[in-house]
Amino acid sequence: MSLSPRFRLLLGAVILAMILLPWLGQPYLVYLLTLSMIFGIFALAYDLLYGFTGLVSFGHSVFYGMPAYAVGMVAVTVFKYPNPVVMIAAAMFSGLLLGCLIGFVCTFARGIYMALITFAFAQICELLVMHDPWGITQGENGIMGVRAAPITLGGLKLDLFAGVGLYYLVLGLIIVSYLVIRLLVNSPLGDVLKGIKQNEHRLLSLGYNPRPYKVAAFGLSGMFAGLAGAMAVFLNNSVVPSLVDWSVGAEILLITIMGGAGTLIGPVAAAFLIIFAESYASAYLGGGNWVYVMGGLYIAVVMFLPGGIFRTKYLKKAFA
Amino acid sequence: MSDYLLQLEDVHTYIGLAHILRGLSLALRPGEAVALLGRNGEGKTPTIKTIMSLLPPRQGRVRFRGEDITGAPTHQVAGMGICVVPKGRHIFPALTVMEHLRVPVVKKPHRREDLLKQAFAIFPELAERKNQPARSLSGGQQQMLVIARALMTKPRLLLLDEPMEGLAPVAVKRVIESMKAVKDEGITVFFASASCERALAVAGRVYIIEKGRIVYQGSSAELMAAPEVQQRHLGVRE
Amino acid sequence: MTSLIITQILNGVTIGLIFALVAIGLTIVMGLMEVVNFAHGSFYMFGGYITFFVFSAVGSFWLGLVVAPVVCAVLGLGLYYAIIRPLRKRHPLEPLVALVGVAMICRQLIRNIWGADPKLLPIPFGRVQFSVAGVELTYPIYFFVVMGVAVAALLGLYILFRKSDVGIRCLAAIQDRDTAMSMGVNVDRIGSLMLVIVMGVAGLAGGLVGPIFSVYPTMGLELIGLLFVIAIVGGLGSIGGAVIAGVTIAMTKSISSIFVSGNVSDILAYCVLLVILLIRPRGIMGLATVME
Repeated sequence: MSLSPRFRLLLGAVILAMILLPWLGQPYLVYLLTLSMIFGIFALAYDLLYGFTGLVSFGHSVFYGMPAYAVGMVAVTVFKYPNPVVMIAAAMFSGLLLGCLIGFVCTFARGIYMALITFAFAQICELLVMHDPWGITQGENGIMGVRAAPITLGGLKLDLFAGVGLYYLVLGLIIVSYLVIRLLVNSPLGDVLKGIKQNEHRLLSLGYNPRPYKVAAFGLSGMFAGLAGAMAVFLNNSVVPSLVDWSVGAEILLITIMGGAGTLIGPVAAAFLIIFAESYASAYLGGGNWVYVMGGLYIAVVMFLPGGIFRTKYLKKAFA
Repeated sequence: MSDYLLQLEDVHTYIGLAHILRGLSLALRPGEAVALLGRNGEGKTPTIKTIMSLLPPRQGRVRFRGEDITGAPTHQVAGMGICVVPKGRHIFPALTVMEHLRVPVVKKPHRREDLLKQAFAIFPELAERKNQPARSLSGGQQQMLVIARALMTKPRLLLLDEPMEGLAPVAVKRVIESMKAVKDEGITVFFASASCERALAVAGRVYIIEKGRIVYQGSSAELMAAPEVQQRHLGVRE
Repeated sequence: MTSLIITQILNGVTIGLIFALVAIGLTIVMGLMEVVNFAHGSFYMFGGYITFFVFSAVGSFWLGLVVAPVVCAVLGLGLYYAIIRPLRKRHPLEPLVALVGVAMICRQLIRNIWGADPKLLPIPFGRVQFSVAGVELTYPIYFFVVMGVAVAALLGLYILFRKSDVGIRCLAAIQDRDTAMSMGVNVDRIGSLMLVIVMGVAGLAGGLVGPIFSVYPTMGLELIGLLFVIAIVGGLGSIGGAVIAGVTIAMTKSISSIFVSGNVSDILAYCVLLVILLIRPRGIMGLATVME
């Protein structure tokens, strides 16, 4: 699915606006946008697995939260080595590894059963993290004070891991992630993945063994989700068990479906929508009443925008 | 009220993006026994499913007794008088024989007790095994069961999808017998079959389907006398 | 020690039966309508709160236990017409999103009306003393009452499914929807009827649990994970399976809680789920043997 020229222009304008935005001097807005972009990367990872390969995961929080814990462990509890490159690499590698492992297990089941396997893994991981048998995850309180040392490039000290620096880092990363995943999806590998979604039997009869491709899809999805998780750690300087909670996986599932599975752009846009809606609703509505807005939003989008926001007829004009 | 019991008019059916039925047309008169022949994968099962509204057509009409039933919900189609014996039997594995016969909705003014009696009369082997789980029956017995199950709706049109497939010769004979008995009751029979020879034992008329379209129609006698037609459309592909 | 173990066994049976009651609703809806109902816990929660409401308004816990299932059944019908039916032609994950939204709204509604603190319902009856296996025990009578009510409800469901036309058609539709429809069965209508019934049962379970755990806004959310374990391990559409799975898991939790922390027993439960999903996704009683 390629984007129409009109839409590419719009996208370019948006990116330009985002580059210029921090000059407005609104730190909370920068925070929200950073968080949105983090979820955007997470959503891209999820859409790769669900929207293109057709594999449903109820436990994607594992690939987001556990790499976050990897970051925390590298920086604070185990290796005490807060080198950002190592931290990010650890997150992406653990995401890739977990993805391949869980993905492999998942290839032995189908449909809802496979989804529930991922759910079980998510629950187990969260419980393990809280139980903390080896004393490396700090249980319920999580790991605090996770800070990456700023990078020094030729005498220039760049703090890319907090505040506005982080904002630009994540902006760069989400653009790169999007382009990489787009490339992947339009490549021969992507064709096989789409084949798995559309008609696995046909694929088998053509001589492809879907298993390694499914594992690859899970692995790649896990890797990008892990990247998002690492960024989340930098944003909050902490790693908490709720990052692995299945509700995080549920939220990204919701975001992807709401945005329009298989469109890549849709889930990213939906991530922004949900994060901002949640933030403003909770600011303006007292107590917990913002939940009504969020719940109502979920219901309304499903009822009135079948296939997600970016698959509605009106927005189809955006695509070539 | 039309002359025909069932009419398919220029039906186009899709499964996902695949164009399975491409302008299929056929018609059945009341009381006939008609076979739909064709190689595997040419569209026999989708045709049956289209009639039963399990696979509604994107284009074209399905008419039953003159009424347009295209796209009607399946249970309504069954209520109007069409029932199906699906390919591969499709028993309910966890239910007993008796429970199978309780599933179908019996239309007034018929009464289930009467229909059960009839069913057990035609299929004594089922009467003997009333409380046995269906999955413990032999292939042939299961085929009897699903035919009896379909007959409980007292259909005007009985569809069967490859009813003789995968059965021992003794069972095949039983199936042919019961199909003839059904026809003698006045029920119109329309069935798909990959085997020409077995089909002609029951059917008076045949259609041959190829690539989602009807490529031949004629009486059974005509087809039997035309081996080159059989070879062309039903023979092993080169 | 022995008396502690026996107490925990009895606790496990009681809680397990309650879990089974709720889990059955999940499996019936999943099997019949292919909808993963994340709002199911909300009905369990409503049952608890309606019971509490009746109790605090009128003073009768038992009246609350009667009113709660009825109200939940009606709410279930509402859910069917508002959400499930309009979305039935969609890709199965879209109703899931909507149902999560419903669950969120329900929790907040409860919080707004009654607050976030747990509401305790007093335990009726007292304790009874008896000896078993040579050990003296005192145990709350109410727990036996709960067991009795749960068993009665489960028997009722069993009779419904195995003896009535509606029940048999429901089982048939769970096993093979298309074929059931071809036999004239209106699967949508049966689905709505079953939904109403199982929501009522879930509401009853929520009410029963009030004096044991008290009622609180996240009681449904906490349970939903375990409910899936029980539903799948027991086997979709199987009452017997849900009971076996529910009681086993609850007993494992309660007995192991003597020796290890709660987290470990939950981990074990999910590991069991994983194994079942891989080896025998149809669960203990499976769809091949839906009931006994």
